[in-house]
Amino acid sequence: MGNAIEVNHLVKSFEYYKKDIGMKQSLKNLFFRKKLVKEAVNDVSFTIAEGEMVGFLGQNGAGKTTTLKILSGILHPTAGNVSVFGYTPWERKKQFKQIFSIVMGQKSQLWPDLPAGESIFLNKCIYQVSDEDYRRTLDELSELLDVKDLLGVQVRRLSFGERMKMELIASLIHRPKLMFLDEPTIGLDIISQRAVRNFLKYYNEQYQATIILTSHYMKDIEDLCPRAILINAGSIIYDGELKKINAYHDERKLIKLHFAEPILSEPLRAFGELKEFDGYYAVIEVGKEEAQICLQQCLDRFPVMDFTIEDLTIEDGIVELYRGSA
Amino acid sequence: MNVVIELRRHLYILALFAKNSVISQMEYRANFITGIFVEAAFLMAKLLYVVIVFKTNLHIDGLTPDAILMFMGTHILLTGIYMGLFYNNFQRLTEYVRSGMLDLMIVKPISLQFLVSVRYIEVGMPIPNIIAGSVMVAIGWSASEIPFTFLNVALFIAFMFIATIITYCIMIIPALLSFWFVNTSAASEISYSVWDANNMPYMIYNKWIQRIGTFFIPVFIITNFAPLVVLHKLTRVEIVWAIVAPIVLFVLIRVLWKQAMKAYSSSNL
Amino acid sequence: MIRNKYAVAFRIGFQSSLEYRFNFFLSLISAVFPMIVQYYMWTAVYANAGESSIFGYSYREMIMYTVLAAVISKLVITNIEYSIAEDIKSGGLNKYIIQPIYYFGFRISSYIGQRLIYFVISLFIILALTYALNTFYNLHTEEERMIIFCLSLILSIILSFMISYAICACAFWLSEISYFFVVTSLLINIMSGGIFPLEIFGERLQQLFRYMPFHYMIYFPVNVLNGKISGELIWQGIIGQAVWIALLALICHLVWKWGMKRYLGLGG
Repeated sequence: MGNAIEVNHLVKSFEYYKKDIGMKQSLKNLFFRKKLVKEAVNDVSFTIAEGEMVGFLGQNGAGKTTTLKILSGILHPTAGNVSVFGYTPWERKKQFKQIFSIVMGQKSQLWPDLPAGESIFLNKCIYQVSDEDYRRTLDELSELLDVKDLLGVQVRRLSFGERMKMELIASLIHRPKLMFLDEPTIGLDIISQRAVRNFLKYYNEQYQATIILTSHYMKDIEDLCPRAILINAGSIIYDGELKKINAYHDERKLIKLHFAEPILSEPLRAFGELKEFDGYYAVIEVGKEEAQICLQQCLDRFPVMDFTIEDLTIEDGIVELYRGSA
Repeated sequence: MNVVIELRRHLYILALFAKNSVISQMEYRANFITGIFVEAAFLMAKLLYVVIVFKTNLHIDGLTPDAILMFMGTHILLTGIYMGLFYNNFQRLTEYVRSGMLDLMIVKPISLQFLVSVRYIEVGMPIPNIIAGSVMVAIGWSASEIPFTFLNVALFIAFMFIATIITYCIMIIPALLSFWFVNTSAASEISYSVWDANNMPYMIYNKWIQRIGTFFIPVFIITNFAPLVVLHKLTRVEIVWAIVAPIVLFVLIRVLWKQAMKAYSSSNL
Repeated sequence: MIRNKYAVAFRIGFQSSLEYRFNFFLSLISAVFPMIVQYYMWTAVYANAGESSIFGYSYREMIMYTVLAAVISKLVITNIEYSIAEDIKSGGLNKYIIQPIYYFGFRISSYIGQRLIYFVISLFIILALTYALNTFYNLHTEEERMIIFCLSLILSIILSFMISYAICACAFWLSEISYFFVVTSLLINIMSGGIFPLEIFGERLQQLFRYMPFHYMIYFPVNVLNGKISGELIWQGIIGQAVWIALLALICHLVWKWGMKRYLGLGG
C-alpha cells in the first residue's frame, strides 16, 4: 500500500501580542504593540502509510492539534509541503473533504436541541451519501456502538459517552478512508473510553482506514497505535514503534522492595537511582545486568518482605524523552 | 447540468436547516416569545419616526406621508427579513471564529460561506417586523394609488430580492472582521446605525450622502428602490445600477471572505 | 484596605476599556450616525412645515437637542446589566460575599473606570458641540448654565447607574434575562428622551413620564443646556434628580437585600 500522508518540513508559526501588566503598559499598548512569533510546529517531517493507525503524543501546546489542523486543511502552514492522498489539504478541494473526517473531543458538530439522527442525516446530505449506503452505514455503526435506540433522542439529553458515539457516527457516515481524532476520549468514563477504542480498532481493521489520533490517555495510544509520533515544543522527538519508545530503558530495570520494618534510605542509594522511598517501600532504578546482583544484596542486607523486578513503563520513557529534548 | 444539481442540493440543505431551526426554537418556547417582544420593542422605537411624519404632515420631495409610510414599511419589512435570515447567523459566525467551532465546518464538502450564512433561520423574532412592515407597505401602496397589477407586484418583489442580497453583503462585514479582530461589537453597532439610516426615505439627506449611500456603500438601494420603482421614480441608470450593484457587492464579499479564510487561525478554546 | 480594592476594580475597568483599541475608536464613530439621520429628518420637517416652532422647539433647539441627546444617551446608558446578571446566574456573587468588598462598590468603581475615557471624551464633545452650535446659530449659552448642566449630568450618570442596578436585581427572579435587558434599556432610552424629545408623545404620555425618574437622565440635562428649562425649573429639576437618586438607593438596597436572601437560599 502507498503512503496516505507525506509531510515535509512543515512549519507553522503564530503571531501574538505581548501584554505587560499595569496601567502604564495598557496605555502604551493602545498605540503600540509588540508583535511576537511562536513556532507551534517547527520543521516536522513524517510519512504515514495507508491503513496505519498512528498516535500523536505530546504535552499541551506541543503542536499536536496544530499539525492535525494543517493535515485536515483547517490551517495554512507557514512553510513546508503536505500531501494527503495526493491532495494539498489547505486547498480545501471538495474531493479531498469527501475522503476524511475529523473528530474533536471538545467540539461538537451535532445540533444540541435536535435528535442526533437529524444531524447525521444532515451530514448524509452534505456528503451526498446515497440513501442505500446511508441506511447500511447508519445501521452498522449504531449497532456496533450500541446507540441504535438513542438516535431519536435530543443530543443534550444524551450522556457524554453517548454523545461522542453519535459524533463518531456523524463523522463516519460517508465512510472516510482517513480519520483525524483529537482527544476523542476526553472526559469519558472508562466503559465509554473502551467502547470508543474498540470501535476505532474495528473501523481501522474493517475498512483499512488510516487513523491519526491524539490523546492524553496513554491507554488510548497503547491499545490502538502500534506507532507513535512524539512531539515536543513543535518538533518530533520520537517516531517509531510505541513499544520501543524506551529503547534506552530496555537497558534499565526497576527493583521494587517492600520491607518488614522501616529502614534508612542512605544505604539504598549505593545500588542505583532511588526513585521512590518511604521507609517501608523503595523503588530503585538500576542497569539490566546489575539487577540480579543488586537484588541479591538487598535481600541479604535488608528485611525484604516482597520484591519485583520490572521494566520501565512507556510513560517513564516518554517523560525521559521530554527531559532529553528540553 | 451540474449547476442545477448543486443548486438543488443547496436548496435541499437550506430546507433542512430551516426545519432544524424551527424544531430547535420550539424547544425554548419562552425564548421564542421573548424574542418576539424584543423585536416589538424595537419596532415601537421605529414607529416613533412614523408618528413624527404624520404629526408634522411631512412631505419629502413630493412624497406624501402615505408614500413615506411605504418606504418605512419596506425598511421594517427588510429588517424582519434580515433578522430572520442573517442576524443570528452573523452573530454566530463571530462566535464560531472565536471559539474555533468553525474548524468542524471548514472540513465539510460544501461551501463554507453558504453553511455559516444560513445555518440558523430565526422564526419568532421577525414576526412583528414582517407583519407591521407588510401592513405599512399595503397602506402606503393603496393610499399612493399605485395600480395593483402583476407587473408592479413582481417588480416590488424583485427589488426586495435585490435588497436582501445587498443586506447580506453589507451586514456580514462586521462578522467577517472577527477573523482579524477579537472584539467587533462596535463594528456591528456601526452597521446597525447605518442600517437605521433607512428609517427615512433617502431624499431627506444631502446630495453627497445620497450618492455615497447609493453608489459607494449602497445601503439606500435596500429600502428605497422597491417603493421608488412602483412609484415610477427610478431613472434608467438607477435601475441598471440596482441590478449590477448586488452582483458587484457579492463578488467583493466573496473576495473578502477568501481573505478572511486565509487569516483564520483556529482558536483552541 | 477596602479603599484599595475599589481602586483595583476601577483600574481593571479602565484597562479593559483600553484593551480593545480598535473597538474603542469605532464605538465613538457609531454615535455619529443616528445624529446624522435625525439632523436631516428634522431639517426636512422644519423646511416642510414652514413653522418656526414644532413640538415647542425652534429648529435650532431641536437640532441641539438631537445632537446632545445622542451623545448623552451614549454616556448614561450603562450596559452593566449583563455582567451583573452573569454574576448572579453563575454564582459569581459568591466571591463578593466572602471578600470584604461590597458588590455595589465594586461595580460602581469598575464601571466608572471602564467608562472614564468615555466620560471625558463625551464631555469634551458636548462642550465643543455647544460652542460650535452657539457660534453657528449665533446663540449664547451662559457659563452659569454650563456649570449647572455639568452638575445635572453628573447626577444623571449616578441616577442611570442606580436605575440599572435596581433593574439588575430582576436577575434574581427571572430565568432568561438577556432579552429582558434589551427591552428595558430600549424603553428607558425612549422614556428618557434619548431618541426624541418627550414632547412628541403628546400631553398625556408626557404627564406620565414626569412621574418617572427616566426623563432626568437625558431630557432634563439636555434641556438645561438648551435653554428650554430655565429659572426655578432648573433647581426643581436638580432637586428632582437628587430625590430620585435617594429613592432609588433605597429601592436598590431593598430589592438587593431581598434578592440576596433568595440567592443564598438557592446557593445553599
